[in-house]
Amino acid sequence: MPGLGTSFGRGGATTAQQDLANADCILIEGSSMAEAHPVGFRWVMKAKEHGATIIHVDPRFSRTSALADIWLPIRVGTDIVFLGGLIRHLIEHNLYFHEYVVHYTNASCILSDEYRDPEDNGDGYFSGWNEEKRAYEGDSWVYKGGDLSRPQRDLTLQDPQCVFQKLKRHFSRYTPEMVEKICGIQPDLFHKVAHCLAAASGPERTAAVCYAVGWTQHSKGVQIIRTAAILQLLLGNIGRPGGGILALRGHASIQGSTDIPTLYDILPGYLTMPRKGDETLQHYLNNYTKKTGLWSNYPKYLVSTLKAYYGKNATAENDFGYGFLPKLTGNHSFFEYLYDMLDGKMEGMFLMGQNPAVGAPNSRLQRKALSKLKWLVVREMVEIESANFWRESPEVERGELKPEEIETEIFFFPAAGHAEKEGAFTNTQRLLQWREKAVEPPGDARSDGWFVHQLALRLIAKAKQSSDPLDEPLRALDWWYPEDELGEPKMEAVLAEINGWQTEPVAAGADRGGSEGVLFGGVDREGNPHHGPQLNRFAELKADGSTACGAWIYSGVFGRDGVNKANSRKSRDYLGHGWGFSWPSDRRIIYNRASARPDGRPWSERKKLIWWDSEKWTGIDVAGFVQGKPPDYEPEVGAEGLDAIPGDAPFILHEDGLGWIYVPKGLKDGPFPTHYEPLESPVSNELYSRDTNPPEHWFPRSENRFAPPGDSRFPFVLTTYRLTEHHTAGGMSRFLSHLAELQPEMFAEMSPELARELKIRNGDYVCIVTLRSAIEARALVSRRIRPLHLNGRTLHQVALPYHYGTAGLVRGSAANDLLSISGEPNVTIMEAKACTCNIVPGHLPRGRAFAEFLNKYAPQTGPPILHPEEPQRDTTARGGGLAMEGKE
Amino acid sequence: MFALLSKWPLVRQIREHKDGTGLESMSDKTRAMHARIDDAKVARSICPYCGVGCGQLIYHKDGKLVSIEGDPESPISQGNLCPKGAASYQLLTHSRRETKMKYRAPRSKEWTEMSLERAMDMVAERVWESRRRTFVRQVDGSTVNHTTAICHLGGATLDNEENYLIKKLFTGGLGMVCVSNQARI
Repeated sequence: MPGLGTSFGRGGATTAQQDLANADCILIEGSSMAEAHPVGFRWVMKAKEHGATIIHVDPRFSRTSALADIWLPIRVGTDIVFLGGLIRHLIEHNLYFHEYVVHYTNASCILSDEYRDPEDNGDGYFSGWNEEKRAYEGDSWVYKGGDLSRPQRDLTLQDPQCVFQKLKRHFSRYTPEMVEKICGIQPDLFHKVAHCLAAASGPERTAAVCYAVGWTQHSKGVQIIRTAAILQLLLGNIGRPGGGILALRGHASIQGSTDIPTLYDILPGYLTMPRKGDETLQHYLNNYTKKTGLWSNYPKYLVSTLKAYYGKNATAENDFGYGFLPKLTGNHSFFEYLYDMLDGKMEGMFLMGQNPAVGAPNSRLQRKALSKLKWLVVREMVEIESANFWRESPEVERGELKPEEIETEIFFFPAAGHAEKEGAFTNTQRLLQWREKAVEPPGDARSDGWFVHQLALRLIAKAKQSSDPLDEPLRALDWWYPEDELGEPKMEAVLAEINGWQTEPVAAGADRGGSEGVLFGGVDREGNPHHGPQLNRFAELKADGSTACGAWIYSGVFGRDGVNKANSRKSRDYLGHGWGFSWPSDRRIIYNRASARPDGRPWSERKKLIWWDSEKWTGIDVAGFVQGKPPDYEPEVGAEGLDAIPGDAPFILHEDGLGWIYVPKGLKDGPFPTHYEPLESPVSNELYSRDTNPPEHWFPRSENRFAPPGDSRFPFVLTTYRLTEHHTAGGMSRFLSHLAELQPEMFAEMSPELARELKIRNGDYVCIVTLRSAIEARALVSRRIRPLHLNGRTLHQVALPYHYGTAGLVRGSAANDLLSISGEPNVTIMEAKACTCNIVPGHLPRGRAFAEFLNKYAPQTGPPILHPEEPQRDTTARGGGLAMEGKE
Repeated sequence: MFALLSKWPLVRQIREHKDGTGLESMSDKTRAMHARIDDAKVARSICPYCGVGCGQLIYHKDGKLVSIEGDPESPISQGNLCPKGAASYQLLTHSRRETKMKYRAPRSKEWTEMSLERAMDMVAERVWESRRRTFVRQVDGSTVNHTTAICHLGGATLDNEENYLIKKLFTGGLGMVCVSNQARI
């Protein structure tokens, strides 16, 4: 998420799960960690054993709440108000970590006089709003003078134009009373939490924050995480033991799949995909290279990536093959191209380990979109709904789709499981862990690596027989990988390429660990020498074509010694050094220069991690700082690169080396987080006249409508969540008897008060209806969900697990049928955690009677746009949402 | 005869003056029993479900899986697995798992079987044709060299190396820009 990326520099969890045990207080919000990440939660319990206070903020009382010291029920989608209230409390009562804030954050930086805050005119907009483009122009958000590398600072924090004073004013109305009014959190509970967090701050103490998709899947998900980042910077908790923000990723390699992205807008290592207009390599590098900080090395990383992609076909003369890369013309993320699928513009699709027919929002629409493709490749271990929608979906049962009319040609490839192939996952704490292959995959099952490799060989062979210039990138691709008997590429060869090497071939013929550190003799498929020794670290990368590196942030995982560090299994200390490889540079807690005082001594004996020993940085972790740069180092005027970062600036990816309380550049919806209501909300915004996040992408379409604020037809708030016993869209759990038996049926969790109101008993069948669709579930009436009292009214929330579908051993309605497609401005993530619904007791009518039922409770005719803040359909408005970094 | 009798646990208990709660109470068969993982090989692995990254020990023998257990040496999981991780042996071995390549022709009501080779050739052909039909060289006079008519979805359950190959081939080779995964949506 750019939430973490813009605040600190890197879009990854700042700490390791084990380090939670060192926390004095842990705030878990937007996550039911005990249920969704049970084994990681043991470290929260360790902290509790050591006396830490555990706080859980969640609409549902779950097993996480049961083990916490304090549980606060909250209205979904109001986290910025709660966290903003805590920020205000810390500032008002002077409880922030003053020395940390002054030295390590941009609180002291002076802002441009042009900057206007939503508080200035009360309408909820920052300066720079362009109504026509429905986007911000962020020119007025920069530091005074516009230079991010050398900001003017007022270390007394008193200048009215400094970030600290602006922050104070920005959150001045986020009072405990406002928190109660908007979130439904009682002031005494709020104060209890504020006290616990403030008490766990300072040289001797730290607090950690854990979140998951309960924060990200909102129309302002990035800004919720930003609010937490501000809170942690004020408390002085980043880069220190027992501190940090732990983003809990929901899949084995969510972190890995953004680090080495299967995403449209980035290249490996968070390099930006070139856009239309970035005509030449020089144009492109000028646009994205920073003058100061680590990103000053951008050309080295990019050229090394091109050398990894195109090998000897990438030369200085042809811009290292920069022209082979496609250029973006807008937002090409999933929801954008989903509409192209629906409109018949998409010809083919590859689905690899994802099940949008169940797991993606408005899944009714997803299934229809699949039926419009010319061809579809599905790679899975079981026949998931996205593979059999043409014969078993609810739409076929209802007569909306007919197999004999669906043109889609489908190739179902059985996939190998995790024990049947080798490779690395990157877990939630940026840790690469290798899996050894145990057995061969059964029958036709093959790894995804096999599939891509075999497809590449075929397409490259075709391209070599063609002379068409459009096949030039295919012909140029360096597809050198040696393979095994099954025709699968050797994954350690791919890992070596990801790690990087010197490009000058060495005909060493050495095996693993050989004298030159060249794997497989560095020999390509034809037996010719292919590359030179592997690199030990990304600092060795060059921009002259003499190095290749598939993902610079992973460099060092497979160095010159030929040891695959992702497969190292000898943990030496509590941070796990010696077990796996934690990017960057095997650092377990990033920004750890902040674990020492500005003068280089540890803040305290209890919280020491790295420190200055009069010659170098040393300590328990790998220092995230130039090894020999003393704490009192002052850059000369005009210094560039890392030389421009002072000796007391821990956030070296930022041009100023500071933690960004205020984000002067890089976000699309404001430099500070601001509360907006969910796109569908039972109430209007108490704070501003604007209800919803202004630059939000709504994806207007008649099948994807949004109820206006306070729509009486949909009086309840709906949220979704994950069960311990099932996994995401169910392909890896609903087909297994052991797991199916543990959670056999779809249900809707609701409070006894709501059940009484609707005359529903525990176990009854109910229909849940939104403007998108209706589904059936058993009512689970439980005090785990409580009505909220806010602003003089009682509000009911309903929670649904989202794992069920029409295939597998246990079947049930897909909660995602109810949700809408929407796109958060920075990363185009949908608002899956907050919308409005109605509940109708009884079974959902089957077959053709369904349409009649739906039309009765959610009229499907009429105008497609019902929400007053939703823009009229305009295809040109789609697109443009290009993000620096993205993450679930 | 005596040899046979002496195998009888009761006789052993009397002869050895034991109370019958130790090894003497076991039959030869029981004594010869051992854990099914004792003579199995082990691969070090990682749980494929959530992002915690628990260590797994995958025991296998003669090319067959024997058992999957938590790795006690993992600094993260210390030998623990949750219900999903503990079910990962079943994930690989259950009877509903697909092991045959299947093909569904346009407008068909059934799957048909197909060889992997043929399917790969056909997919390569589809990609080749779709790309040719939809490739865009320039937009508004600027070079873009891309196609927006072939897309990819998925990746968060895949290995880094697989994702690397996907991006390299699809974007770097084919010019596909519609590449997405769960991490974003």
